[in-house]
Amino acid sequence: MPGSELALDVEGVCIDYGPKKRRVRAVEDVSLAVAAGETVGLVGESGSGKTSVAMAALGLVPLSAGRIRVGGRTVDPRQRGSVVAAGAQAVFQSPYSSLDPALPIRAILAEAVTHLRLPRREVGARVRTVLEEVGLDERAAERYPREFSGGQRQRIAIARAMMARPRLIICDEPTSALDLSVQAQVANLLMDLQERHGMSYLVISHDLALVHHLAARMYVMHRGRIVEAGPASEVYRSPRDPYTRALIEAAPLPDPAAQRRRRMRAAPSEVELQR
Amino acid sequence: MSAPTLTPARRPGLLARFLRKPVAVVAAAFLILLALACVAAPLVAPYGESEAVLADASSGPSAAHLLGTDKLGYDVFSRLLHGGAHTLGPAALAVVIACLVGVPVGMASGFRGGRLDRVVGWVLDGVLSIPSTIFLLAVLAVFPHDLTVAMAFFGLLISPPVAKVVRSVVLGVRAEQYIDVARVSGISDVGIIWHHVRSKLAGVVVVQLTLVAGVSILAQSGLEFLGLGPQPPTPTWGNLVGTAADSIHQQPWLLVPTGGLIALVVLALWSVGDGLRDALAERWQGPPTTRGRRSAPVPAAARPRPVPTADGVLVLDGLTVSFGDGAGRTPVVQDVAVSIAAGETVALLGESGCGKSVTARAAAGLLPGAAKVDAGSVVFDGTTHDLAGPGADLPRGAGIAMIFQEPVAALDPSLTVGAVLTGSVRRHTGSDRAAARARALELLEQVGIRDPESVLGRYPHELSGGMAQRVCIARALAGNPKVLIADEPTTALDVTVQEGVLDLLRERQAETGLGILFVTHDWGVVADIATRCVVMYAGQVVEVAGVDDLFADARHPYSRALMAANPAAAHPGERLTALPGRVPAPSEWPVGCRFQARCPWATEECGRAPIPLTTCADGRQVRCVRWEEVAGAGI
Amino acid sequence: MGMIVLRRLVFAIPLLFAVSLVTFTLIAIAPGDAARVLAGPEATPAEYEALRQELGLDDPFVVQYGNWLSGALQGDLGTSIVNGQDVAQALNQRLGVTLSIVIPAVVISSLLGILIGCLSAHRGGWLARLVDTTAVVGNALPNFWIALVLVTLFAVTVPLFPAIGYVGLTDSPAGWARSLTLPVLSMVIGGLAGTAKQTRDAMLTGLSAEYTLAHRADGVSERAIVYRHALRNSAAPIIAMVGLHFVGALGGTVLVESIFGLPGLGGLAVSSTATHDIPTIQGVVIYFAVLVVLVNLVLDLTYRRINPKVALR
Repeated sequence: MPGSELALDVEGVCIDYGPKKRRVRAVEDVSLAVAAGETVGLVGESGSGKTSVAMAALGLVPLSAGRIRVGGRTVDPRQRGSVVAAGAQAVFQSPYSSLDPALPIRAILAEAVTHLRLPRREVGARVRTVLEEVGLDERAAERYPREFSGGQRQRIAIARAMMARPRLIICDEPTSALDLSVQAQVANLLMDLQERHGMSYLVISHDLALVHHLAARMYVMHRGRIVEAGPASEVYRSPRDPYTRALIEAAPLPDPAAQRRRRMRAAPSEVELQR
Repeated sequence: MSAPTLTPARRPGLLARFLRKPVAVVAAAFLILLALACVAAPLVAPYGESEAVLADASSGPSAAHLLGTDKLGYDVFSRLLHGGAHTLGPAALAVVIACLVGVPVGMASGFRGGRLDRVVGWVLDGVLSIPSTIFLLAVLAVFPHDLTVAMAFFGLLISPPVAKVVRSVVLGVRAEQYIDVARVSGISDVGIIWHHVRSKLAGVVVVQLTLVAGVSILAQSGLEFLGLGPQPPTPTWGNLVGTAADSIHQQPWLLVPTGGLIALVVLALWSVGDGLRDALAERWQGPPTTRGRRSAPVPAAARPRPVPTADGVLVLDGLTVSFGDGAGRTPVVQDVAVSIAAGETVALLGESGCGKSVTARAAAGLLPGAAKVDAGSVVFDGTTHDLAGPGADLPRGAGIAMIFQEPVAALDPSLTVGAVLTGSVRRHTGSDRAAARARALELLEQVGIRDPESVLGRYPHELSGGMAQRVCIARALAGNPKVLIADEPTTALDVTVQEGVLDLLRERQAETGLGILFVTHDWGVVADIATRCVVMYAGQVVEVAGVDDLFADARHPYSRALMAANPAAAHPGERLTALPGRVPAPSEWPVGCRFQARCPWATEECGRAPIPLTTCADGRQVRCVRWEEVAGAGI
Repeated sequence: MGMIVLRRLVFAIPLLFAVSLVTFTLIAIAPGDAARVLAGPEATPAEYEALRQELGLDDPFVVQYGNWLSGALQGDLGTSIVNGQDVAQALNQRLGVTLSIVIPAVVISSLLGILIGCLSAHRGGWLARLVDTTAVVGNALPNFWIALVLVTLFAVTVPLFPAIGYVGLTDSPAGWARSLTLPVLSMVIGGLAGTAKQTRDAMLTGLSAEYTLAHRADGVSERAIVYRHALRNSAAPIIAMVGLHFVGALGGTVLVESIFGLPGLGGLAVSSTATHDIPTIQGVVIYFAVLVVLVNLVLDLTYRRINPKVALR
């Protein structure tokens, strides 16, 4: 994969938190790449550092080492807006907290294209287009977030990301606050939009099944490091790293007979995370 | 959440919204009238500022003197109007200064955080610990009778509460994800404050403004009363109370109009502040939900009711729960029956808003105060407890125990693990301190905690989520319960931790014959732990089946749709079988089948009348008129 | 424990320093000075100058402040410019009177307010509404006015208590109590409902928390949940409230002592303000600041006893 074609290129990134004297390393030497038009998954449990990587890719967290490039342009956390200028957008986990309750949907959507300084009519046209694309009535623009359900709000968050016609959308746990039925709606919407517009996704999630479903390739993170990477189905079917294996084995199968067999086979869990 | 039926709604403006609050409107009218009368006092007051009618001295209220006269013959009503300007001017200065200092300081401190926030915090606490009255006296000693200077200082001294309130609002807003979203979009800090923070602050600042105004008027009239303001006969409000105090033996009536006016003005200011705050927030928060929200008439319960399994240790039957009161009562759960036998795990399934948690909590008699049980009973261990009656005395903790979704939050932050566990043991077994401690250690070992001695001394914030859930399970087991109600106990945990907790529950169950009611929305967890499943939709049970039967051939279209939406069961890259729409809110429940709007099998018949829960020949239950066709359709 | 006391006191030093510096600066920038007041309107310029020199008013600001500070650290707060009395001595004589109003007032209204707050958190309904309403009205009533109404009712109309004056504890304990009843009562009435409301608000956070539900699920009685667990977890805001209440009560003595003619610090502050007796008023400010520091220390230690978790941090 030649560097210029990559939608996202994360190279040797380290991230530390905390005051100077007691810095804690959250991410250690992480490299990953997302090609144009590709969906890549980043999987890990809480504390694995996956969200820190997403935040860094969005320019919200400073790097201690390494470099992040979006569409070939280096992301500089000190320069606000450099990420959107390079063509990336974000969809966050909480459909409740990621939309400002005090603004009508129109204003929420319009904020995403502030940096483009578009004429008012163009912004209005884009608002109508993206709302239609995510399956909402154009009259939704005049309403406030509280008038929508969780699933609809997540559609609005996706519509917001689509406003600037991005080449990459970084989705941090895009469906984990949603019910299964609504999660399916949102996952389908993400796939539909990609088919139509050809952008790339970096999907960050703790849900292996979801990532396996959406992504072509996936990375598995554990304690700040990438422990396994490869084609999603390969990683999912025959994991090489013991942690990945434990992770996959730990997620119960939605089939009572199969799950019973697996339980019989498995000795007490390998990764007993007591702490 | 209201229905997103997208009819264009007319949105009343700020003034219109304010005018709907009667108390605030009356208060505002009073303040406006008073302010006008004070400004125009030379024109409207019946008597001049220093016009005394000695002949009428010390008279009570009369036609000539609305509020009576004092011992020098001054007309109290006129004097109060003339005094308004003297008292309200400096107080207004204090308000302006308090806000000019407090709001920016609070914003900067909350928005920047870090070291600035800590330093500001110290300074504010320092200023707050200065008794402001005594400081004002020092100012007045230096600038005799100059209330303007004194009140300017007072503005500084009361700015910390304003700053603190503003800071906490800004801190809250800053933690919201939409702030991160805006930062990603390259919006500057100033832009973020203008677009996102301003709207949340407006109401708070209005309230603080009126609070500070009231406190300033009180403080200033106090100084005037002490004779430290303009000297009598200047008719400041404080001086007028002072005059009343001088003739307290002869004419106590004078206290009423003078002090009363001050109190009325302060009360009116505060009412206006509350009204404005509500009117400001209603644009995006919606009108208050306490009244008016009429729900659709509750359809009659469909009989016959399911016969709960006879051998249940805990049998919940005919549960109907509603929220709100009066005309705004909305049912959330209707005629639900669940039974749990010894040694079995019953999974309670459904999307959020279907009534799973309400059902689970009702089974333990633990509904929140806003909920009301309209009907329902629990038969536990042979004894019937009527949930609708007052004080259903279920044996909580001892017979029926419960664990929760957020294990760390479910532990009292000021109690150690040891205090929690020994407390439970002693409450349920009556054993002494030493025995309780031994039992607590034993319980911790049983739930797989490796170092029970040291865990006993820890506080909840020192535990990981998985450990906290194990401690919660240990606590639940302390009373040797027969039934455990588990409300999504693994949803907040990582899968590797979830695995351990599920194994633990299974192991404890095998040993003690515990019956478990397990609320979840995760099909994997159901497959792993359940023996029987109860699927709920929109406040009703729609299907009851053994776990293998349900997975093999679900009979209700909802159960099937929910299962099909699981990505684990789908081919990668293909569209998932999404269930369109969403669970209807209780106020939108249709007369017939509640799932009809989302159901591919729905026919006209489904909309006509409530659908009963049918018991099939094999004992399974399903609430669908076409279940035989659905079951035959294959997965 | 000793460490905590020490740390609190170290933190208090900047506060005391700042308070004294501000009052001192205020005096320095003010028009006119103590010498003008002392010398009186008929003094010749020469007499005035001599007095200035004697009072050290010609010295640079820093020197004046340094002199005052070093004196203050040795317990010498200067002499009154009105009657030449030693300020520290005058304040010490009056401290007891002020404390015998403030401490009972704060203790009674805090204990009663916390109790009513707990009750209304426990019972809700009409009691909660009553607390809400009276809290707002109580705060809106001028406290000097409440005192005057009490005098009208219980000293003028029904003469149960003296309207004015102070009886020393050693002279007559009963008389002492009678002379303090109305002043203390007037301070309690103003703050009681507010204290109750703040207590309830703090308690409701705890009562709606998940751990309260867990206590209920474990069969803990409602009484224990309210009065043991929720109260303990609300200790921080409640104790902070008591601290602020104390600060407010200290300020309130200014009015109450004037109305009831009590020879305390507040009354002294008012009379020395009227006579521009700057050393005295400055002394009162410092005394009040020290009292606040000490009370906060006591509250801090109380909090650590109630909720040992903070001690571990």
